[in-house]
Amino acid sequence: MLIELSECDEVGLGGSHTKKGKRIGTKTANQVLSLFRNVPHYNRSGFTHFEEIQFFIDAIGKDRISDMFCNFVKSFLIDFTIQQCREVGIPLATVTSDVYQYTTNRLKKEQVTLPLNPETNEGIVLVPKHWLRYTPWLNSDEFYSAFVPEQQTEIAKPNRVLTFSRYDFNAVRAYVQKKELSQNDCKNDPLFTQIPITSARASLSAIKSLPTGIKDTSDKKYEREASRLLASLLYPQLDFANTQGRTEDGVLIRDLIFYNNRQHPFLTDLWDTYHSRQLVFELKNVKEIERDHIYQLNRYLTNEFGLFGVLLTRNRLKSAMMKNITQLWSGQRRCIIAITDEDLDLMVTVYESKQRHPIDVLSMKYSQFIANCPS
Amino acid sequence: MKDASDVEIFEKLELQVHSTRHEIAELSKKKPNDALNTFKLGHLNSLLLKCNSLLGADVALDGFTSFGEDQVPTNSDAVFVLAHYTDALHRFRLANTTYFDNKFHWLVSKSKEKLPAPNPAYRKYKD
Repeated sequence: MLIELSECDEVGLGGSHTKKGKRIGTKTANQVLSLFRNVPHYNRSGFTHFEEIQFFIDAIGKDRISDMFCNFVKSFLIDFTIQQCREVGIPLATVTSDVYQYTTNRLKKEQVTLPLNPETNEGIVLVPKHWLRYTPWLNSDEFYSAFVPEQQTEIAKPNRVLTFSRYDFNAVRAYVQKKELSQNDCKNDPLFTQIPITSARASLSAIKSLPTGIKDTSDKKYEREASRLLASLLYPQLDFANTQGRTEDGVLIRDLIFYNNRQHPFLTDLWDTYHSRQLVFELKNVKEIERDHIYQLNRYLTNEFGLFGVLLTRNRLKSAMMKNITQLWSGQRRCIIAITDEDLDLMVTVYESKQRHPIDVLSMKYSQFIANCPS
Repeated sequence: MKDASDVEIFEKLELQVHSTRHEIAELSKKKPNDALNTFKLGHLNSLLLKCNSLLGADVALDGFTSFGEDQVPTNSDAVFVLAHYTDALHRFRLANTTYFDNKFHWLVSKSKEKLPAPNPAYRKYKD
């Protein structure tokens, strides 16, 4: 049952690119069970905080802890999901899910109603926002740095530290007690963190390998990858606000909206010149940008979005389309710039090297556009 | 060049261009597509502007004066530009030295004394 509990795909917490995770093996599960033999305290009283497992077993980290926890409380989370979905009108469907039974201490397959992931047709379970933390309150990094004697850490082999924990249970106990006393400091972390550099490169590769158009839902995949990539690349100068859907000519168009906090001279310039309190990025997974695409974005440039917009697309604009956006600037002082795969590549390179901010690439594109406009 | 102070300015500038090219070339070998940070870009631009005013009509790169502040040049872009400026500075050195009496001298208009110059071949940039 431990193996079954070690992954909770419906919730999808963790740092992996997809929400699919691998369950632990029999060996690790046996190691967890052996704790009851090796540590007399657990044998007598069981776990008070099962996060403590990570101090003893190498293969159990924070991801496993959150997955196991979600499995134990899945019944509550399913009720919470149904309630939230009904409140905001998200459609629900019947799916089969393993739910932990408190009375029998067993997992039981149940027919439950959950919202579905449109790409995988698998159920999604929501978690209350105020439960979320980036790392568990009891975490191994803090324990090793503060509670393991230096001569143990000098040997620096995680296995030695884990062995130390097993035979010096008092250190674990002292750490847990200290954390229990300071439990008032346990607050949830900000939800947004930038994606790691390796994930940024992986995300860019995923975008580049996607075909243009709507075949095999590549437009949806493009939107998903581009939004998570841009939200990370442009943070903290631009705060990601939302993806916003709107329907034009019967087609759902998804845009990325960022708050303009004027944290960069370029953004201050946009605020002053184009009155952009929010920046809108329109995503177009098309081979060529056409006149209609530009007009769609142009119609959107009102109120809080000001007169500045970004078209995120795959290839460079043709000269006729460049002429089109130049005319928009000349006639109505509306500015639309196009960011292509090439520019995203440069942004990711800059993000990796940390020599410049990726937003400088956006600023450069704007300068190039203005340089080509008639004075 | 007019006098000894011009020679001094040129010598200093040439050394700066050589060392900058060397440093950025090292970066470029590892990561040619990495962007120059704003600190390096600022210094590079000020160096290029000084070179432009010294070289005058003998432009190093047609249509180019310096990188814009909004631009995001890569290491390889910078090496490319600096290679042209190193060549232009060497041409400038050759044009302003003369070989006379078994020695190299600077050609200066305001000074009647002969200013000794090193052999230009020894001052050519080497990778």
